[in-house]
Amino acid sequence: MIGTIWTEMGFIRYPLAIAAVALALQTGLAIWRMRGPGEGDPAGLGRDTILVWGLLAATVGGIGTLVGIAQLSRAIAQAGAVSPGLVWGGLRLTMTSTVAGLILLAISAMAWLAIDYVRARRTRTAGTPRGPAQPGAIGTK
Amino acid sequence: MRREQPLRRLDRVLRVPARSRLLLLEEIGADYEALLERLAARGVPEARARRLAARRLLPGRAARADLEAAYRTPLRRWLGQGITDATATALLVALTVALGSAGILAALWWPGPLRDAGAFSWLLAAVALPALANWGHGVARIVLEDDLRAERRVRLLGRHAGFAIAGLAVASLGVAWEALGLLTAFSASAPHGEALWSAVARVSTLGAIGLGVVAAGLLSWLLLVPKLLQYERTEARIRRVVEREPVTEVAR
Repeated sequence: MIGTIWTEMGFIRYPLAIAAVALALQTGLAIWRMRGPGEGDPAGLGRDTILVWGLLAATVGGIGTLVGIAQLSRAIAQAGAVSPGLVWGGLRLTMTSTVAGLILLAISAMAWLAIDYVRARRTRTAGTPRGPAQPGAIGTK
Repeated sequence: MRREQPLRRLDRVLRVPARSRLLLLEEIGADYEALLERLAARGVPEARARRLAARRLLPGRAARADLEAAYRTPLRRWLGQGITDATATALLVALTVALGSAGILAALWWPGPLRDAGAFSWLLAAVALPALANWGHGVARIVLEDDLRAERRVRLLGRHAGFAIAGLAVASLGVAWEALGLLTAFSASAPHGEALWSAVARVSTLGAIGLGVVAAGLLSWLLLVPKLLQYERTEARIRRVVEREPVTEVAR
């Protein structure tokens, strides 16, 4: 099924695939940066890039659909009478790229939220005062 | 006299690439602290020691100008003294806008679906050109100075997002406007098949152009991010150097 959808998407599958790979890489990079003391991404710009890749995927998916509709409309206008089944089938084909783009946007949003949650949790934990040191604990006199 | 951290002041006024600024501040900061320790060991009161150390180690206007000349970016060095930063930035912005305009005009004049998309595609071009100028301005700063301070970064990215949203808004308006015109025409007389599909093609193309402008905006944002991220990391390290020392009195 995925193979069929991949073929049906036409030329727009390539930019979408690039966006998907970049999204995965950016998410991996954001997770890797999170392991440091926070200097890797001080203002969260790298983390926001995950969302931008998702938005780009959705935009590219939308472009694929609109270009597909434009091509379909021109073909129908030239052909004259066309069966409704063919028209709806064509419209279904054009929608696949938007669906793929929106799936990538949803994934990017979830990844962004998860990273933001973990980061906030780590920051809170790092900033929480641990209370007075217990006598005899390591590092106390 | 006013109370300010000397290193913070130096960071504010020094116009060298971000990485060089960090190295210089680290070096001067270390010398400054070492001198303070020596003066304290000699029994100089802390406030006086800080004033003396700041006076002795922080570069004055002439020394700063020498530093700025020594740490210029390759492009700035190549351009030489004859062209000011403002002129060089303006030239780079003009070049970016000229190249972008040529591309947009070629796409809109070339016979094809883009030219048939209607007047709103020209409105979209009117949004795309200032967006290109804003982006070109950021790139020019990065190439010329290898530095983009926090407030400039926020302004650049904020405007960039604003232009992308404006592009989307104009495209959506165009699609809605064309659709309204079509529906008005079709409500007067039943739509003919060919006319209907041609109109749908025109409206879809306009929508695709609008999304294309947004995609270009997002891509250009992504192109800037690695450099901006590098500046953020450098500035975070500079903040650590600068915030280590207490406030003291310095000359204006």
